[in-house]
This record gives sequence, structure tokens and C-alpha cells, in this order.
Amino acid sequence: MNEVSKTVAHGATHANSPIFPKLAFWEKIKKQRAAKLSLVVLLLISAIGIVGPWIAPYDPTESNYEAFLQGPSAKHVLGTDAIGRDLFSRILYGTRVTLVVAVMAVGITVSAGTMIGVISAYMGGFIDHLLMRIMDILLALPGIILALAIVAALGPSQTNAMIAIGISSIPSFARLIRAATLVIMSSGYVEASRSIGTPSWWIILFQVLPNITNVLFVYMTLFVGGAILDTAALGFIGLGAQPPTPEWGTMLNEGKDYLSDAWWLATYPGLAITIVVLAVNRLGDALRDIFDPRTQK
Amino acid sequence: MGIRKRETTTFVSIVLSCFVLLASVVGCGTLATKPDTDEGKKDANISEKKGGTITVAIGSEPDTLDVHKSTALSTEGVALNLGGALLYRDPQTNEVKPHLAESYSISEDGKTWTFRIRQGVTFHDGTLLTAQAYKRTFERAMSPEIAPKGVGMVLGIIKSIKTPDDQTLILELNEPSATLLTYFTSASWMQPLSVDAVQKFGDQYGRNPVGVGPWKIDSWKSGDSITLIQNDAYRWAPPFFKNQGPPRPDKLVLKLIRNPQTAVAALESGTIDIADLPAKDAKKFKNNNRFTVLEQTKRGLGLFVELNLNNEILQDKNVRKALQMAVKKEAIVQSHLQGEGIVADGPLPANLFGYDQSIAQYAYKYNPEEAVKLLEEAGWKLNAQGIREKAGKPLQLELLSMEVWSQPAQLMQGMFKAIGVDVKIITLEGSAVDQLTAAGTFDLALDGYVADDPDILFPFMHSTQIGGMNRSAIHDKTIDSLLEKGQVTMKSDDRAKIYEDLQKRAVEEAFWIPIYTEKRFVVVNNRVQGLMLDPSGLKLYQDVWVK
Repeated sequence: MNEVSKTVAHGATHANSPIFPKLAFWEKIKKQRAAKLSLVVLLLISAIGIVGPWIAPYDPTESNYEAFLQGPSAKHVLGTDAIGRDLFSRILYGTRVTLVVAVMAVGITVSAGTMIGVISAYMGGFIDHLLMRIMDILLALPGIILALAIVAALGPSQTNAMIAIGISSIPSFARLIRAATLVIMSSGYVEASRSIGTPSWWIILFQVLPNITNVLFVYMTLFVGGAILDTAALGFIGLGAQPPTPEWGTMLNEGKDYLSDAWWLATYPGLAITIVVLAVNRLGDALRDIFDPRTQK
Repeated sequence: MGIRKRETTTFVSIVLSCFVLLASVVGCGTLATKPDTDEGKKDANISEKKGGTITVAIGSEPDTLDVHKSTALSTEGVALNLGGALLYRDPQTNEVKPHLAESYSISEDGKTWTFRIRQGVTFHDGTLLTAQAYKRTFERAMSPEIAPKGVGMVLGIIKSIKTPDDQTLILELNEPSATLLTYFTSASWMQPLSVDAVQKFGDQYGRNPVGVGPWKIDSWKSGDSITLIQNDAYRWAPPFFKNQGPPRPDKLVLKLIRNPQTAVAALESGTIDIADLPAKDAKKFKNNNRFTVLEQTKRGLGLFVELNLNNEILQDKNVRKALQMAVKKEAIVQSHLQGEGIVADGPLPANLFGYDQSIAQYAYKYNPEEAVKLLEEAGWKLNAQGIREKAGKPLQLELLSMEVWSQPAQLMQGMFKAIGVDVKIITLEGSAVDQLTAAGTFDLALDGYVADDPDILFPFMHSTQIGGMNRSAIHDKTIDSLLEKGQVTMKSDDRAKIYEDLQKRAVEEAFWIPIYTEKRFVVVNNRVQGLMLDPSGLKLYQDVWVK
């Protein structure tokens, strides 16, 4: 049994921690510079995702027929693309598209993955076997291949990309959650609850789930980074958001043919993807360190 | 009818040769050759060397090299080197002259065509070219199981073929034809095949073609390359080539490179010598003294929009006209072609026979205000979202496009939006586009063609071709009769007049939105000298030599 689960489960406090475990989390985040920075960057990007359309100087789908492939200038901060659209505006709008797809995809992964993982671990026996073998089969395919197959079947669109990315990472998520649940399952208080005949739903809802939230949160963060990359990858090969929707992967694809004559076209969307994924992953790493009992002092 | 050529990733094209029986009006274009640079002059003194290998990038792989079973542009480009034609078109005078035929004559009524076959021509397998070989070749092409796949469609006009002796070939036609003569100048589609080889290889003939051309097939690695080797016995090149003997290089490697960026890199590294490139990539090679860029205006419409006339919204001529006026074609040429193209006004390009010189006077101009007025008149009113609607139905149209046309499609989407028309782009592969257009379940579709004769419009606009290439489902009596007349009218002036009338009608009815005629750019490493392009852009290697 690990310390974290004990602490939270009993509502008791750790010797050196503040009264609320949540505050302990903030305390720890504050101590890690990389995590702090990542968090700030992410909050900033999320803010852009929300207000981007209002601060964008141009309509991202409107072409300026007088300004094709223009480099960065005062009028177009990041330049224009091959059909005269303002790149800065497209990246601002694209933030929302990319974040929405990634977050929704992770939402699908987390809800379905958690359900499968918890049920599998809790029920054990035949159901556990069945669910995990299905997950194994799906895991045999790399996530992006699975996503490609799903998009190919559903047809390319932003919503379908979301669904595909979401579904494709369910298996690995479910396995992680199953492992985390098994740890909780073996704890004394769950056994005690079962022995006095507490209904399964109550145990899952009030004993298992609260104790895996930390793990859930860490994995979720780590999966967001992957989902953003997958979104961009699908967009890049034309299976994500459809033109003229400004999506970073799609923009990268449009820009790749102009690498030698208009470097800004592929560079800025690429930078945007890099920054977001880097921030999310750094934050995820930091969270893992914070919640991992082995690193706790 | 025509031979339909399809470049799998880009556009539909049709081999229809210039009407050259009497034509000299609008030239069929001249051969593009390398400009005389200082370097070129210097080289004239060096003897043209033998040996070496030329490597050429091809953008798509032929489905087969059996010329009777394909209409693909990729097949034509390769098969051309393996064969020869009865006739050839003199690039200087545009006259049709005999080639594998020593001479030919056409009877008064235009129905009996007699060719005398040249002596001493041999196939790659050593067999002799005779009139019988031609007869068996044509009969194979016209056989019911093969004809629909290719050139047989065109030869259907032949009633019977007679061969009184080894040298004489007599064709009896059902009716006179204004286009057949120049079909016979195609060294790819109309080449004689070694019937022995056809029998020997059976279904595998398409991978082991045997013709009479300057090059022989050596190997074909699927998905990688096709290698041709020079035919030592070749002594019958068309007279306009300097080199009348076998080709000078030993090998011609046609390497499959689908992505232009990869072709650019391969050219720079010297992996390949010759490649067709889009304008923006070819530009980079113009000022590079290691390379020469050959330029040629393609004869056809590089891009046009087909409006589905079965669509309820598009049946209204005012809506069709409004769409025409909404498109700023100059912007598309500027952005997509880097300015290397010509805005198209009608269904025929300016460099094709029959083009109406006065078309600019009646063609639609970019005029969004007028377009808005027409839509208002037609009852389409703006709603709160900025989209027009009539009786609660929004003015929404789907545009079928392909990856290569992503930019023009998005530009047009914006242009249509500006007049309140909501267009959704659907990007598909060529074959998927064909399926939808054949079924008629689309609103707007992007298309393009390359042609040698205005008869190209027959498959595109004749009512009998609905469900096939007539994607717009044009069913117009005036158009039908003009197209039919165009096929049988032999006198050049009369024929030109027919196509002028046709253009007026097509523009008035606003069936298509013509966008542009584009240029072809072929980048050649200066290691390779003497490459020529024929008017339809095919590469001619007869005079080529490697430094």
C-alpha cells in the first residue's frame, strides 16, 4: 500500500504537509521552476485559445489578393500564406482548434479508459481477462495507425479526428488505470468495505476513484501532449480538420512545399506545436514526480 | 470521342490531334527546345557523344504499357519511346507527313485511306513490319473486349482493313473523319505491335511491350523505375530529328518520383537529370547554370469548374452567371501558379485551333457587385449568417476537389463566400471524384484537360457523354449539333466558325467556370543535351546526348 492513497483515503494529513492535500500540490508545483513555467505557458495558451478570435487582426480564412506569400512585416506580423491569408491570425485561431481537438480527445480517452480500467480491476476473473485481451489486441497497433484506420472509416473531419485520437489511446490508458486500481483494491479499507457488504458502486465511487485521481491527473496531462501531436499529425496528412479551418498540422502541411521560399509558413505552426507539447509534457513530468510516492520525501 | 488520358493525380487529358488536314491557322505550337545559350553554341562544336545514362523523373507509374489497354498519360509518355507512327507532324509547317508509311492517299469521298508501309522496319523481336502487322494491331485494338479500354474507341470508325500485299494497307471508313489522320501521328497509341509478342506474353504483354521504336524495354521495377535501352537497329527516326540512327545514350531510366520536393532534391543531387516541376519549384532552377528550364504553355484548361446542371440551385442560369462573376481568376493564377499562367475566358485555350479571338468581349469579368445583383434577382437573400437563402433553403454547394487543387479551391471558397454562397470543399482522390461525378451526386467539381483538337469538347459537352466525361450533364441541342458538325467538317475556316459558335453558346449558358491555362516546366541538367518537347509536352529523346 502506498502512502498517498493512505493519506487521502483516511482524510488524514501527512506529517509535513499543510492541512489540505491540494495545497500540498501547489506548494510542490511552486518549488519546480520548469513546472511553474510550463503551467504559466499553458495558461497563456489556453487564454489565447479562448480570446484568440477576438485579438486576431484578420479573418483567418480571408485572402488578401494583393499579398501572397509575404514575409513577416508590420502589416502581417508572421507573414501571409500562399493564398494571402494572415499567418498570425491563423495561428491564433488554430490554437483553439488544436486545443479543443486535443482536450476532447483526451476526454474520450479518460472517460472510457477509466471505466474499462476500473471495471477490469474491480471485477477481475473472466471480465478482466476479456477486457484486457481486447486492449492487448488494440495495443498491438501503434496509436496513430489505429487513429488513421478510424478516420479512414469515419471520413476526414475535425470531429472524427477527435474521436479517432480519443479511441486510439484508450487501451494504454485503461491498462494504467487498471494497475492503479489494483493497488487500491488490495488495501485494507477496501477489503473491509467488501467484507461488510458495501455495494460495488459505492466502493468504486467513494474509495477507488478518489484514490486514483492523482494518477489519473498525471496520466491525463501526459496524454494531452500526445493528443496534440496526433491532432497535428492527422491534420498534416489531410485527415484532420478540413481546409480552410486553421489547424496547426494542416498549416504545417501547406507550408512544407514552401520551406525554401517561405520559411515562415511551416516554421511558426511548427513552433506553436513544439511550445504547447513541450509545456504540457514538462508539466506532466513534474506532476508525476510530485505524485509518485517513490520520490516523496 | 477521344482517347481519354488521365494523369492519375492531376488532370484529365485527351489526345486529340490538331486538325491539320488544312490547318495552318492557329499553329499546333512548335517544339520547345533549349534556348541558344553561349554554352549551347560552344557545345555545337563538340561531337555529340554516344553512351551514358539519362534518368528522368516520372510523376506517376503507367498502369500498363499495352497501349491498347490504357488511356493514361503516364503510359503515353513511356510507350512513345517504344513505338513509331504511320505519319508525323512537321513541327515547322504543321503538315502531316508520312513516316512509317512511305506515302498515303485519301479518296475523294474521304472514306478510303491507303497507306504504303515503309520497308526494312523491324520490331524489337526481329520480326518485319508489314501491312499485315498493322492490320492485326488495329484489329486487336478494335476487338470488343479491348476496345473500351483505350484507342479502340477512336478506331471504331474503321469499317474494314485490307492488305493486298505486304506493303499496302487500305482502311475503309464508315464516314469521313476530321480527326483520324492526326491520330495516326501518335507514336504511342497508334504504334504497331508485334503480334507474335502479344500472343507469346498474353496477359503479361503490358509489362513486356514489343514495338518498332528507338528504345526497348529492359526492366520494370514496380513502384521504382522503368529502364529502357537503345534499339541498335533503329534507322527510321522522323526526318525533323538531327539524329536519324539509334539513340545515343545507352539507357533511359524513368524513375518514379511522386513528390515535386523530392524531385527538386534529386535534381540538385544529380540523382536524376530531367523532371517536370511546378512553377514555384522550376523558378529556382532558372538562374542556375547547371540546369536549363524548358517552358511551354499547356494546350488546354489547367483548371475549370464544372457546374452540375442537374442540381436544382444550379439550374438557374442567373446563379451560374453569378458564380462566374464571383471568381477573381487573376488572383488564382497569381497565388497558385506564381503568375505563370493565363486566365481562361472560355472552354478552349488561346493556343488551340478554333479558339474565338473575340471571346474576351463576351466572357464574364470579375464583378462581385453584379453577381450579388443577379443572386438578389434570383430570389436569394442574405440571412443573419451572411449566407443567402431562398424559401428557407441556404445557398450551399459542395466543391469536389483534389489535393493538388487545394489552393484554388480555398481561394474560390472565399470568393464565393463574399457573395453569400457557402461552399464546402471535399478533397478526394481522382477515382473517387470520378465515381461521384458519374453518379451525378455533386454540385461543383474541379477538372482540367490537355488537348490537341477542339473536339476535346465532345466528350465533355455532348449529351451522349452524360454519366461519363460530361460531368456537368450538359444537354443542349445547339451544343450537340455543333460538336457533331465539328467532327465531320473538313474545311478549316468552316470548322473554326463552328467552334466559335460553340464557345459563344457555352459561355452564354455558363456551364463551366474556366479558370486558367497553365505552363509546363521541364528542368534539365546541362549534362543532358538536345531534349525536345512536342506540342503536347511529351519528351522526345531522339537528339539527346550525354556530355
